[in-house]
Amino acid sequence: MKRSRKSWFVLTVVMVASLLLAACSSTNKPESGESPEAQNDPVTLTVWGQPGIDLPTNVDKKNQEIYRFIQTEMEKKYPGITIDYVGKGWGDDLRQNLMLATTAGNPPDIAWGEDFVPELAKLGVLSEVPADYAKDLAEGPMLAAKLDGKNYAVSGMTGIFALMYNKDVMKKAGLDPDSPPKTWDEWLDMSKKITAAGKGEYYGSVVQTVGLGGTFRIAPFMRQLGGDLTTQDWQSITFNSPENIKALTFLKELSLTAPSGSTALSDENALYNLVHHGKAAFGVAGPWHISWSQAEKCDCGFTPLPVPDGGKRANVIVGNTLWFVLKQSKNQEAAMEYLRIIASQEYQEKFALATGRMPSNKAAIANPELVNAIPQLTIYGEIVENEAAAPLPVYPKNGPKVWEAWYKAQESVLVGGKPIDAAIAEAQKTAEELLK
Amino acid sequence: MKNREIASTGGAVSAGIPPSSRMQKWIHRHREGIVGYSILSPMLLYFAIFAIFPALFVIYLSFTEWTGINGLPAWVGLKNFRAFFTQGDYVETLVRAGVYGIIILFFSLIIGLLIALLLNQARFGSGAIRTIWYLPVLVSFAVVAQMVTTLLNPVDGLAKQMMIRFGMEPIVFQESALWMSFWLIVITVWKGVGGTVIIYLAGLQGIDTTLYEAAKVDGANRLNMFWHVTIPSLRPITMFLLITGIIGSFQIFEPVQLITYGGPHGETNIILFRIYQDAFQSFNFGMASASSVVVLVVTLILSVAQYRVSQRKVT
Repeated sequence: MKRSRKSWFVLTVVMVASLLLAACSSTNKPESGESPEAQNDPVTLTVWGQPGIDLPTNVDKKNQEIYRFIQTEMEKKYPGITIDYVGKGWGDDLRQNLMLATTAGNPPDIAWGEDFVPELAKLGVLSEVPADYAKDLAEGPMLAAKLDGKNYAVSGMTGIFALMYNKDVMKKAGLDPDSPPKTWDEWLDMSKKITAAGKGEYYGSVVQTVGLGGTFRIAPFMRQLGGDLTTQDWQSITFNSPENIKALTFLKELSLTAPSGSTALSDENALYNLVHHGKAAFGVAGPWHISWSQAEKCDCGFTPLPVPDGGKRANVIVGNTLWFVLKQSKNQEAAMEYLRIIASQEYQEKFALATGRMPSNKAAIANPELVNAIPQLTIYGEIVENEAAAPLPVYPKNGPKVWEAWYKAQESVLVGGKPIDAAIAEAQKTAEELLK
Repeated sequence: MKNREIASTGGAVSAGIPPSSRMQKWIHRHREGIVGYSILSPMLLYFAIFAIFPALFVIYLSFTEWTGINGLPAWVGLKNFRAFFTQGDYVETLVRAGVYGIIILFFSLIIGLLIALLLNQARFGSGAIRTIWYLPVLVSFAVVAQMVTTLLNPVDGLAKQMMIRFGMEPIVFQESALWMSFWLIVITVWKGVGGTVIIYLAGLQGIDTTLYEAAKVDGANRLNMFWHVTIPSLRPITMFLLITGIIGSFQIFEPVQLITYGGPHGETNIILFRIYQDAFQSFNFGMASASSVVVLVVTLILSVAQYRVSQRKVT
């Protein structure tokens, strides 16, 4: 009995000690203190971005060609380099994943997003990009990549809004499909006529109302009247300007011509497929709608956004993909080389031809081959040339919460029935408090 | 007695004994404790790392401002707690969680008890029926959310098509806070009631049948037996369900995150989703921690009060 107790005791102690030792041991390789670049080991770069068409998981030949091009270019300086592309969502999802990975100390080397570069730069998470990397890139798209005049990203492609119209729906409603609306009044009038003619089968316009996607499509109309979400320096909130109220009033009226229930849709694909599939005639659309509407077999046209009486042409920079290097990356040089390739004319032309998106590289935009290949881009080129456009603002403090206050206002007005003045005043007050 | 002698002379004796022998004696004397703690230590370690440390860290963070990314937490005293009670929609989301919780708890208990009573009577296929009621508990909320969003799709959802087929004006549920609250409650009750049914059923099957026989002899009808035998016998179980339900009511999260996203325009937002937004969207860990501490205190107070009241009634 005694012996068995002793054995039990010894066994227990050994087991616990093993467990503790196992828990405390490290599986990490010994730290040499040097980056793989310095050790001359083959470099592995991890790139996070949007899953889907733009990552090499897509088997599209043109898409694969782009990634082969990047690989070949990178191999010139970094033989044997491995580039891992990981889909980590877009917008808020991507931002959240990046922040969490940075907090945990294991972010990717490179990522590409749209609307949060200054916020991440302010947190000290991003590496500064040399000024000469951006010298060939258009100024507008690069505005969203800067903080205090320094570049923290390069723009890989950009975009701007136009009005997309379904020619078949216009024909069905007895309208000339080659004469899309040019003013707010014409647009509203046509939308009402189409909704009336459709008798529940097809409708006038879709109006995106929810979250950031909604704001992107509301802001151009505010700007056409001289309004905006903030002052030009992004320091003060101007939600409650009379111009913004007028723009929301117009969009509210327009939303009454939308397919029943569609203003409550948070799914952008479902919303714009209503236009692509002939359930609605008009929708505000970026250049990515060119290939998308073609894939959905829509006879869709594109025209500059209608302008209000007494207003001017104005727009928002959208679909502006910004590529950046995370400060915690151990492959700074290789990651920066990757950004240099993304900013190059050669890459941006290939990308534009493969996807129908607008390049940010000035030489690539001017290439006539591109316009020949994708004629609809001419409209977007004309808009870029003739409309004042800037990215959405970056709030100096409590960004996500200020946005939340604005989203609440836009949704309560356009989806719900809250009076515009009251909703906007409430958002203004909340945002001002958050900026104090 | 022998032990006390050893203990009292231990110091004098140990002076002449070699260290290894002293160690052996110490181990021998405490061997039961050593074995006990050795067996417990992995669990204690786990508990300390994953429960005690995070809880203490959250309390500390609630007095700080911290993004989790750059620098260390900065001490701000009670600022976050002041903000909780004076700014934004924190109190509103806390109260809303409480209201949802009470309604969900009420319906879960009533429906759960009724189904358990029916299942208790069932002669055929009771196992299969029990499984059917319990199935929603096993289904992931992500799957349920996908089903519900498809059902309620404002453009071409099944619910809309049904309303049109029956000649009704279709309702766009997503435009109304009341409707979205309704669906949140229905889904949460439907998904969770299986657990309540199983617990009540176990309680019903544990009631001494002689109590019913005695009641019958005394001339009680079915309703009398239900009120005077079944309900009192189920009181401990009901109290358990109430207390766990109250704690759970402040932890409703998935249906809001996956179905309503707090909308329309923030009107179905509840405290746990607000905490999640603060922590993992705004990366304001101080504010998220302060809200968590408030929820902890409220839940504790309610649970203790509930327990006290139940004890008083039982005695």
